[in-house]
Amino acid sequence: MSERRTLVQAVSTVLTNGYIKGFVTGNIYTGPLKHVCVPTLNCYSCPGALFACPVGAAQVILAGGGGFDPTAPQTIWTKLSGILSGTPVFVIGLLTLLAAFVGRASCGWTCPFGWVQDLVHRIPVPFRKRDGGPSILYFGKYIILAVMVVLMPLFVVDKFGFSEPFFCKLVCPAGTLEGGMILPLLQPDLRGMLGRLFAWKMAILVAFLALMTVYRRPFCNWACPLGAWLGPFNRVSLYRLEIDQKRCCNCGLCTKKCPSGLDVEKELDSADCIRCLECVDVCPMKAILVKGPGFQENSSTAISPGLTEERADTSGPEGPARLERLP
Amino acid sequence: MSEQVKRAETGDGFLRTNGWLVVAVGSLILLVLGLWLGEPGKIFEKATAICLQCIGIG
Repeated sequence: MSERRTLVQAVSTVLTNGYIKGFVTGNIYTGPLKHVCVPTLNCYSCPGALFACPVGAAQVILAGGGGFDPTAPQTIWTKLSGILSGTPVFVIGLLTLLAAFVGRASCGWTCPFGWVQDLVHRIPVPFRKRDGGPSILYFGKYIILAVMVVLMPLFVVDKFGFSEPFFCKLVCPAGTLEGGMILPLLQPDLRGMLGRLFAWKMAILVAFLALMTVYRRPFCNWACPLGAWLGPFNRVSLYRLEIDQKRCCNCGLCTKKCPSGLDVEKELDSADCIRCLECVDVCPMKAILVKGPGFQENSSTAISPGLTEERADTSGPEGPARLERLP
Repeated sequence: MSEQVKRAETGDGFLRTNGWLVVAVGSLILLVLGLWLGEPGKIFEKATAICLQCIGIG
């Protein structure tokens, strides 16, 4: 599963950043595909980006002041239309439609920055953790979504009523990696404009890169506003994960493998699950099932070969030390 | 066999079973509304110009 997912992540990254000419000329793609957002954190100022980033797009629409004109004749319809035109309903609809079917699977399978985190975590460092870090940090992404993506672009405005995409400007390490670092290399004129803001954003990127070596997907777990939006739909999406408790041998392999650092048996459809399906793959008893059209609700032949009547013995400190046949 | 499958979360109510459909219909309405309001045009306008401040330059 890991290899297959890595392949999907690589293909997705290439497909969404396939404007090769941009990497040569330093000019970004300006074709019709940029009308649409991809459901991943993929900076549209990356020279190769073919699509728009939903987080960036949502912020610039919220920051644009909307179409509400207090001097125009006020009917309910004009008020509603004005408010809606300043709300990223298309972006919300697009993301939520995907989440209705697969929850947060785009984080696990197609996000280029998620892939970067998976790759960096493979670097062997002495303090590498198996978990996703302190649980209180997991709330960070909701605060960032609410404050930096929604509230600040709406209320921190200039005298003309316009605001800025604060998350992109002050935090987004994906934008720094994909756009901020690459564009000055390709456009020498930009190098003279690098200042304190660039230093700040590079510091954030370097900090997250360092954290990625220790923790699994720290940005997804702690800071990604896109994950914060998609995550809660894990609980209601068409495709979901379920545990067959009769098969589960409590070996803990799923929890050890989970890139979000979840206690899989207790938090299977948690908003932090990125639907990578590593737990499904690693379970020796095939107790974790994908539920949804096209998947068997419960397969009696799904247990790994040779384990049909066996159960993992988890009494040892290192987890499943041996397998024994059930009576 | 299906009763052997225990849900990780409790609650088998309407939203648990059909929540995805409610969410999908709601999001489709938003999607169409966004298209009608010309939001893809606004996205295109922003996404085809490099926002230097957004990527930490300037």
